Amino acid sequence: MNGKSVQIYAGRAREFAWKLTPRRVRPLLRGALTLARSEPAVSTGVAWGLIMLARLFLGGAVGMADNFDGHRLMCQLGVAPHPIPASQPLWAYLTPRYDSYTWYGESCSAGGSGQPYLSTEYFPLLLAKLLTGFFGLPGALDLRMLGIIFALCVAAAIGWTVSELPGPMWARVLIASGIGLAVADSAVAPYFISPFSEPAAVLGMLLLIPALLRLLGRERVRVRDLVLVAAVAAWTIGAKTQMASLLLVVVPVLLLRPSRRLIRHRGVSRARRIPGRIAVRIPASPLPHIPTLQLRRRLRRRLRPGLPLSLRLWLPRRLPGNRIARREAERARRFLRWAAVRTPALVICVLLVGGTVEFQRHQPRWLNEITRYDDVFTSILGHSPNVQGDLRALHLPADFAPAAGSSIVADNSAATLPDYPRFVHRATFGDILAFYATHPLRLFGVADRGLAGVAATRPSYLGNYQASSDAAPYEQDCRLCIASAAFTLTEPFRWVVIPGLWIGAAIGGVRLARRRSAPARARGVGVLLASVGVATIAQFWTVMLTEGDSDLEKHMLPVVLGTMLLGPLVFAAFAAADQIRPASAPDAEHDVPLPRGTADEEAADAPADPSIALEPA
Amino acid sequence: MPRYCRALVAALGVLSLSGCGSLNLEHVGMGVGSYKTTWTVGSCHRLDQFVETDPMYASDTSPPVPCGEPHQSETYADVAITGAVARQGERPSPLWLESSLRGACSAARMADFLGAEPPDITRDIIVLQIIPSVPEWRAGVRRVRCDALIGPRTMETLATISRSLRDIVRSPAARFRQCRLGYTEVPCDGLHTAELVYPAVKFSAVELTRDGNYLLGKVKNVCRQEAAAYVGAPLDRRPDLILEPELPGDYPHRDSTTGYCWVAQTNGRPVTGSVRRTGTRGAA
Repeated sequence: MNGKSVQIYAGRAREFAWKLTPRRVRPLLRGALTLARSEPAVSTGVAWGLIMLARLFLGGAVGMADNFDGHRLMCQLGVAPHPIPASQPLWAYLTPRYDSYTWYGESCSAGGSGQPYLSTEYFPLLLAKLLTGFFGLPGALDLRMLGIIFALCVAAAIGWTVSELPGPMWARVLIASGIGLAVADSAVAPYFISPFSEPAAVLGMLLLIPALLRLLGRERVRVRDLVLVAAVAAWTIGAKTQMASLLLVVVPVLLLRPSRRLIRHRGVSRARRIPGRIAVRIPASPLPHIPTLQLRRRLRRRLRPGLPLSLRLWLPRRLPGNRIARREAERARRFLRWAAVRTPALVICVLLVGGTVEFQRHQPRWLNEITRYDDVFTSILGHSPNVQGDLRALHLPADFAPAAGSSIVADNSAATLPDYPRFVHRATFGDILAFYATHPLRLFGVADRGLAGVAATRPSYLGNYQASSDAAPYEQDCRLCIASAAFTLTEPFRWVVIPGLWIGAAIGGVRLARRRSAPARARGVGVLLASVGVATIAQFWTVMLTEGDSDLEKHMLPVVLGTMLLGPLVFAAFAAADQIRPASAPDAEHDVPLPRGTADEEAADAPADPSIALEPA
Repeated sequence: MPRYCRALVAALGVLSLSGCGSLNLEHVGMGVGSYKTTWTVGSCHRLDQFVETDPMYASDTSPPVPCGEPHQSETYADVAITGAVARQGERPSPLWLESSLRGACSAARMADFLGAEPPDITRDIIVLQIIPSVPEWRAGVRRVRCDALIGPRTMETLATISRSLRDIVRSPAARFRQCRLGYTEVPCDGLHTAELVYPAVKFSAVELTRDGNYLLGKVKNVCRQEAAAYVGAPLDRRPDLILEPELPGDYPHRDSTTGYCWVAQTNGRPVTGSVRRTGTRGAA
């Protein structure tokens, strides 16, 4: 079915719906439709905001019960859970109300470690606390206010996505609505009314979509778009330590395309179209303003165009006579040019990576110890056919064998053994990775457990409803459980369907991104699709190799959401591919097709004819 | 200043603020106060939340409260940390510490503090070990604060007390004594039909193979003396009370290899309060 036939069918359906609408309602509906047509992004966002609010609150609020993980964040806001009846099981129901409480010292720290638990989720929670007071709700913080905040944020993200997506408006609205449907699903939405850090990560993932589309909508990226993507990525990584895997895709994407010039040359005023489909910005002079005319001419002769002044001074005047040396020099020159046109992106990447490393460094040692424990004793030894052999491979004492399969707080935990300090000092993540490198077949077991966790979509031990509702203890919300049901159905075929989706999306995205004939925005959708596919795979393995089997369904939330997002993004890729026309005229502002056979950055950076570039416009 | 210079300055600013400039984030996102533990024996502490007494949250730097105000724990001793764990420069993880410091605060010492004597048995008072905070550990503090923590304490509810726990077992203090209503163990300040007297009667493996009459005889012999000491008068002089021995393996403790001495109401009616040191009071 092509776009035209879809439009015909949509028109017929519209006519039919219009006939069914009562006459009194028609003017109102006409007004709403006019508004929706004039501001499709805003109206789609508003619609999804209302859907999210209805989904979260109609028929009683749904959220996630706290399994004590919430304490480390909520205590930072000076609140404690409102007491519940003694007969009520703690994790059976959502308890949205929190009262003021003064937490002293390390009673407010990550698991009593004496170190803080840092997450960007703190800020929405702080806002929720302020709004709770503003609206005069009982208690110091009501998590239902957090639900409202996130519903509005989701609305903004979806509206923004509509405005950044390429293609016809109906397709953009449909794709953004697909994303909205994924977020409103029962596997994701209940987290918005919870004291966990996951909602900040979910919001960050949603905002990254339009931010990346905006960045990749141009051949030459703008610094402000780079900063925007980096800020959203920093927010997402700051939500949960496991989200650091996002760097694997964000850094390459930031460095994918050259930046616009930072130095505004005197006399530069407009872009000029050059015959032969190459549009370049023609500067009056490639050099900054230099007072002495003689010096300026000398520099102009000496320096090559297309590079910032600071880098041009480092280039050799003539290439060496030796061919190899000349090739190396040429390679170095290319690299310098590549780096020079990406200076802002490089600076931002250094900041982002440095900030992530620093953030990881500030994570509590105690949580790190728990993670390593789970990796070794639960994931490796708990599923080991030869516990003693594995202990030897991990360079750990044999008396740890009885602790195989235990959690750190179990009665048979290795922490109760006299040799435990040896584990704390010796077992590192490097050792765990080295173990898997020498026992690669064990990774299949790890992957299988992980895929089962993804198929489960959410933890079953945490109730979604309030105790005041009629719901049974631990009852799971299913107001919109399309994805949850789909994942459950794929569970027997999890080895084919789930990795197939990830890999297929990554390959499809790369193929679209490599189509030179496609405009920048269409290729941007390909890059986004490939990025989400790769980021989901990276996230899956990050969770499995760090958190292990512990609380797997909860930790897999970004993987579940990433997989769900692939559906609308694949559709977006088809819509973008449909836009590719061999002889399409490029858009001067967004799409500047580059000549074949040259690297993007070099072609885009260097003018077609240097003599033109050196002369004033 | 050219644009890129401004961008560079801004970037460096962000870099320094983002933590690369050794910004101290140690107490950001943590609790308030001085991070100094109160080590005074006899000081009372308010630990209103379940997590505050979780073994993972092993330090307590909240200011002490007067023992006449509601509180949950009271310090009865302060002991030094020794051995390999004390040589760690950074405070080890809570579980490692818990494992290394197991038994550092003796229950016997707590019993002395509470004023418990041999026939006494207490319930809902447990030992809570408090370790130095991270800054204190770095400063070289190696002590454990031993607190008596009252119960019942669950994830949903917690108990408080508004008096000192010192010598509390010497008073009737029925809420800290073990009773039962039918087969359900309850504190003695609630309705109950029998009260437990300690110590328990131990049996060897050989003895456990012998017939029920032998077991009953041994428990009765021991319990008669213990119950008399506990009540403050022989049970012959308390017709309202009767000895109710519990043999090894009796319901509800099927796996038990120990005998217990219960002093029950003769008429079987539920009562409240403890019979400890009541002497011949209440005798018909």
